[in-house]
Amino acid sequence: MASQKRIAKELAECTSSPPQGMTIKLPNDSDIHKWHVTLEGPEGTVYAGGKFGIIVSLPTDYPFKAPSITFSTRIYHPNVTNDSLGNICLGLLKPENWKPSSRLSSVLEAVRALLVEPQPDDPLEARIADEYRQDRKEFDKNARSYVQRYAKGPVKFESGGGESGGGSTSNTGGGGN
Amino acid sequence: MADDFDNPRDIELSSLYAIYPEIQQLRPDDAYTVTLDIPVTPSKPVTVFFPAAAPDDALPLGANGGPAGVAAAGATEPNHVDSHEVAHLPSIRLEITFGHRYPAEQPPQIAISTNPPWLPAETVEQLENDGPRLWEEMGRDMVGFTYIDHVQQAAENVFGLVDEKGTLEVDPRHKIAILDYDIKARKAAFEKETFNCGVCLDPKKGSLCHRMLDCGHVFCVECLQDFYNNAIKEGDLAAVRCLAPNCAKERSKAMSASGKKRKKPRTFISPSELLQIPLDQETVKRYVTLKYKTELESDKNTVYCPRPWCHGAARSKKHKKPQGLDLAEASDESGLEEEDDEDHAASEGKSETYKPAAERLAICEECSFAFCSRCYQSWHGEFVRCTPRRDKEELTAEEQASLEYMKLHTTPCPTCEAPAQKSHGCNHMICYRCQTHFCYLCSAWLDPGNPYQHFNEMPNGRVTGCYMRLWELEMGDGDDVGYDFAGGPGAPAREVVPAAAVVDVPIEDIIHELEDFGEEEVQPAAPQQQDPVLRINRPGQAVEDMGLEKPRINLLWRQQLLLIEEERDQDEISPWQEVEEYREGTDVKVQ
Repeated sequence: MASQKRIAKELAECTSSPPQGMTIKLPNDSDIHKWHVTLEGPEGTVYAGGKFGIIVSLPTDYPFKAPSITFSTRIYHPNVTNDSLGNICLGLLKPENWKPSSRLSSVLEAVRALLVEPQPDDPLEARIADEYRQDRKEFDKNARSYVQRYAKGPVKFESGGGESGGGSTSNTGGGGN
Repeated sequence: MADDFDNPRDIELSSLYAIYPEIQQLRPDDAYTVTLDIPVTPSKPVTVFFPAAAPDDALPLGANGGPAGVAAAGATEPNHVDSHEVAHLPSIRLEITFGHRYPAEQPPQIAISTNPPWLPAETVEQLENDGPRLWEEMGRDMVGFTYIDHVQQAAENVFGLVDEKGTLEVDPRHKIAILDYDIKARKAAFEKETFNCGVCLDPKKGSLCHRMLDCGHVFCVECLQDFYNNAIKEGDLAAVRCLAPNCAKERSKAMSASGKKRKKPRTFISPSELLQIPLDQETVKRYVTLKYKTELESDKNTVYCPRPWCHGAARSKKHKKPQGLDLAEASDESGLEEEDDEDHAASEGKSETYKPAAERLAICEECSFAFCSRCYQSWHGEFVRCTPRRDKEELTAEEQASLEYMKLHTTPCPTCEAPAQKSHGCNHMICYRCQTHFCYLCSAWLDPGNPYQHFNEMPNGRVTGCYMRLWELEMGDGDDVGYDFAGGPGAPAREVVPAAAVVDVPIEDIIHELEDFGEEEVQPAAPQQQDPVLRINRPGQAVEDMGLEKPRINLLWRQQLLLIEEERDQDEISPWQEVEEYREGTDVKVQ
């Protein structure tokens, strides 16, 4: 289908000139609908020095439907759920905002931009957002300690696999940690 | 051949053929009369005015047009209503005859024509005279190339006919031909180009592409068809818009920059454009019908026909029923324009009971049944006192069950009251029908600019009841929905529920489940779909509310969800029934 061809094209583009600080791999060569992206924490941010796993899942009707993007490495960030799901709140991925001519490279760049500049006004983790705004020092400290704890060493891509910590799929948003 | 070689006319013609391969010999027996079409493509598109053709001044204008005539007409008729931007004017046909005494003794004979004759006679004459003039200036020598080049250059500024404001006036009789020519020429130019389709990322020839009428983005026809057909099939009307990211945003930015702030740019695509892409007639028809239906449904004041076999909407000025595919566009637009008034109308219409009697007359647009919009009987005239029909009584068990389920597991949109059931995700909802942003927990309106504020601390330090509850019910509301819901016991949807499936869950089981619930984490609704056992995922919800009926209710509701596109108001009481009862119980004369 046209979808396969387009994904192949985007993959070729993203592997030959990957977005800044990212490497892209297919976990399974026969399935181009699942990408594993390793993102290096941008320099000059609290995430510097960490390596974050990002899982990109492309629906079968991509690009008509938005890709889903999650962090497989836990990260302390106002716009990423503080659990093993690692959901991201990104405007351009919402179904009503998604346009078929958006590219994955720009989506990935948007994810990176979120690390450079968190959006505490549009948070998934209200508590972390409050901390980011009101007690930046504490936020920086927590974020760095998360990097030390989770984002060093080999990048893991299986979500929720054996990770301990407060991450449950509980219904209370922002309650984690 | 020595003769040919000596003949300067042959030398000139052979070089002209080389330079302008499109030159043609006019008559087979006359080698020295040639024709050439010269396109008139101004460097910048010109605004062409077609002055309203008053019967008496149409003639003199056509006869003595030209710059002087333009100025005069411009002065007498300041309101140029009919103006169009044109990039290609009909080309000029040059007919050049090199007589046998050319070039030494005779200038070339030149005839100029255009189809239609939009060029003023004066200009034509002047151009024709330019040939002999140039021939004189060159010392009576071969003037062919010089002359053609001269005409081409003159064509670039439309022979000086365009005034300093970039406008050109043309006899209205040629309007259709000129606009038609422009469209064709633009299309030809477009088809020659190559575009990179933003969806499939392939380079495509212009002839396989479509340029969006409103914003000018180009996509290949195949991708557009795929996408729009799919969106219309799924009923996702909001997706039928330009596929470029940020398209609407960019345009509204451009618009506000140019000072036109009032209206949002149009984002949906008109049915006629869909046909141009082209999409199937059937699909476009469905698009028009669905669009009209959502428009009616999002208007609380819509009155529906009480005849149980009809249920058509009553005629209204605001929403015109689309007639065929073309008219629908007009109705769409008017609907959009009136959107501003909608709140207004809604607040007026709120006290429906106090509508002036004459306005209670409603006529069904489907079956033309005339009825009273208050009591839903056939129209009884203005002077009969009637009472509104009773609501929500005597529901069948199924309807009751559906209502109960909806009460438990859906949240109405605060604008249009369309029930929404969350399948997964956070509690920031956008109504599928009217795009209102609202909170799933309390149905409050949310600011589209900052919807999450509602779940956070306000700037003044206060919090709402939904503080920190953005992710409550993340796995969906109700146990028959959710990310992993694979269809459940009820699928396929339309199947009648066998009596056996209407479960007898022993009450102990439920209590047991409830106890479990208290101890464990909430489980995602996924794994055990086969057995329709009651599962509860909402803390604090009374068991009695749900009762043993619940699995069955879910099925019904699911059926309804699927039917919702096709049939309206499943759970409405038959008004007909009501009317009958009402007649029996009261003493109203029916006329």
